Amino acid sequence: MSGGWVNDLPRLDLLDDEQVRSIHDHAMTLLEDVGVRISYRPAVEAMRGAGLAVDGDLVRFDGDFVARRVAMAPSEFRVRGRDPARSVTFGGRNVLIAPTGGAPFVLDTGGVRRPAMMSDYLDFTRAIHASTLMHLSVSGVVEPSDLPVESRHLDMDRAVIRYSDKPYVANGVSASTTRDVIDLAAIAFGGREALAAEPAMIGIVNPVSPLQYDERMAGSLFEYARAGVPVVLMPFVFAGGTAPLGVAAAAAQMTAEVLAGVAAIQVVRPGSPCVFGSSVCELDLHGGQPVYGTAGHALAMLVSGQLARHYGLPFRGGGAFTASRVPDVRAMRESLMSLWPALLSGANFLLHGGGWLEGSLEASPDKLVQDLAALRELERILAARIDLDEEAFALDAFREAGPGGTFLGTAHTLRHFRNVVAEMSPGPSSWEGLLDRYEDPGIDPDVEAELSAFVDRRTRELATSAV
Amino acid sequence: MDDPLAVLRASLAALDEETAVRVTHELIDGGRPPREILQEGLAASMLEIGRRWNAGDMYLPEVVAAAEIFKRCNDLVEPALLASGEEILGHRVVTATVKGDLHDLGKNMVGAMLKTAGFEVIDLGKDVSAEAIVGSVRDLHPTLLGLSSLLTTTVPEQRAVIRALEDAGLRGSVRVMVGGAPVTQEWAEEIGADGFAPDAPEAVQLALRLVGDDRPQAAP
Repeated sequence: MSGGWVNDLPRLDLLDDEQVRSIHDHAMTLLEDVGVRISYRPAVEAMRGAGLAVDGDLVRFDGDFVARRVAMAPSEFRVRGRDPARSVTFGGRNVLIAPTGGAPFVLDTGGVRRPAMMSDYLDFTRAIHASTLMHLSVSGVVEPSDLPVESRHLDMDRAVIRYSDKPYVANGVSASTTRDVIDLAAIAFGGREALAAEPAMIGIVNPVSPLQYDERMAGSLFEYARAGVPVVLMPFVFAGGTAPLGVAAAAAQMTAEVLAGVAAIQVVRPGSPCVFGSSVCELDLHGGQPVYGTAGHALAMLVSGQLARHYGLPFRGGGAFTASRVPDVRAMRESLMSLWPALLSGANFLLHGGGWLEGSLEASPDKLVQDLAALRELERILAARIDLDEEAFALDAFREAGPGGTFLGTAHTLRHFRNVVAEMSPGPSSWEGLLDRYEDPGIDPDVEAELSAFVDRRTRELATSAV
Repeated sequence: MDDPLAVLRASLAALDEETAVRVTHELIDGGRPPREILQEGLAASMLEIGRRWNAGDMYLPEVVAAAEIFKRCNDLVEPALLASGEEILGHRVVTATVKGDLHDLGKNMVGAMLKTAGFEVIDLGKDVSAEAIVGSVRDLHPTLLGLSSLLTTTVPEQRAVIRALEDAGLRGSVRVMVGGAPVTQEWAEEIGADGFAPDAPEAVQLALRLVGDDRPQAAP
């Protein structure tokens, strides 16, 4: 049971083995010759202790070291939900979908772009929980601007635990915030040891391309790794801006960045689960804005998926990406031109699978509804088994209607149309309809009280230290 | 094209660093007034590049590369300019990505575009502390200060810089522009910045407004 979709489509492998090896070799050259800047002392010391060459905060990884460490990461792993029936498996042919994350703005249903609030966050959390197409919740689906920046990770993670019983993407963005969100999860999931034995959430760590892990992200990586929480290593590169132009260089750079993170995690805790992430998008080279759903974006995703399989790691690709600021024709074109390559790339995890606008700056309820409608059709394609029995060929209907006839009233149509209608059911067609489907999963009152006590105490401490 | 200033302008526009640097050396050694080299050679060429960008004939990588060559040549002219005691009439902008943030792509785009509008741009880099920014404002006397941050967690540092400028008694001496993906006009107003721009071209328009230069720019 994957808890998500199973993608039996053929993988679109664009490269032969020699070409994959070439990208790997160039990535290793970057890791050995250029190195990766890691601006978090405990992580750097751990790398030095493992025998790597360290110069200040510059770590040089050698190829054999990376290969040995990457082989320690599992090719599949499970993340449990608070409701065990909602548990999911990353890797293999499984596809898991999560909504947009990190948007500081909301394009509300009235068409107004405004800073996101905690009320928006709670609405999105409920909507995501209500949708059967979203397999994980995201803490930080939007950034609630009405909460203090130093402690909002606590409110967001608590809410996602409280209002959804799906597995979730946690919101650790530095060493201390990551310790906090792990402590919160430990309260809800039976302690840190139980959490390490069977994780309930997954973390996202973004290298700051090119070839850097800043203090926050390296600190977050270090803490997630210590706790055995799975991590998506997720470079976000702009070809021509934060990576050279072209698929080859971007793929080699991204591979170097991901594998440095995977190797670092395996140093801290061998066997800790990792996901090979990729997002290579192109820049509008006149105005400088990122663009999505382009051929370059798709090709890089396909190549990344093939690389992830080469390393035996689950792959994060795709998402309903767009640079459009409104859920218009362009938004859906770009989103579908991102979702399809993701499926063909064999992506196991589609983060930002719904509600994404303006290159992640906006979250939109209307866009989420449209993305869910698109995802529903993709789900039907993946689930489809084309019947080829005699009933499916409907010869009786041809005889009944005859040349030039109509099939609407034939016995065959009458036998089957209700099934087709049920399959084509479009799901909620509005944000309100989606929210109406929400059913509170409830939570043990003792756990809820303990979560709140922790959030209150840490919020006070962080407010004091922020002054 | 015998006029060496014309050669300098053309070489900068053609991204021919070698020629641009050589001609700059020759002009300085030949006793051409450094202000003339800067204004009629380098700055004039950057303005022309800006016009061509506006017309869609040049692309951002070319503008950024031109800005790099401009900086190399300007570094050669500057000592001669200081020695001559001449004043530069252009407006100076100091730019920085705030402390805790290593994202500098947007700031670098803004810096390059500002150079095409005749601004002198001094880039402090990324992950720059409020103290370092205040020190630069004190020492370099810029007309404008541009603060960039990409992360919601580092945006508050823009406020910290403005407060540090106030504490140092320097807030009145400089106009502060803020930018970065999560930044808004409302945020700019809340923290007492003088302006916000959502992208590099808008940042140029904002900078021109803030220094009181409302000359019309070709529509992008």
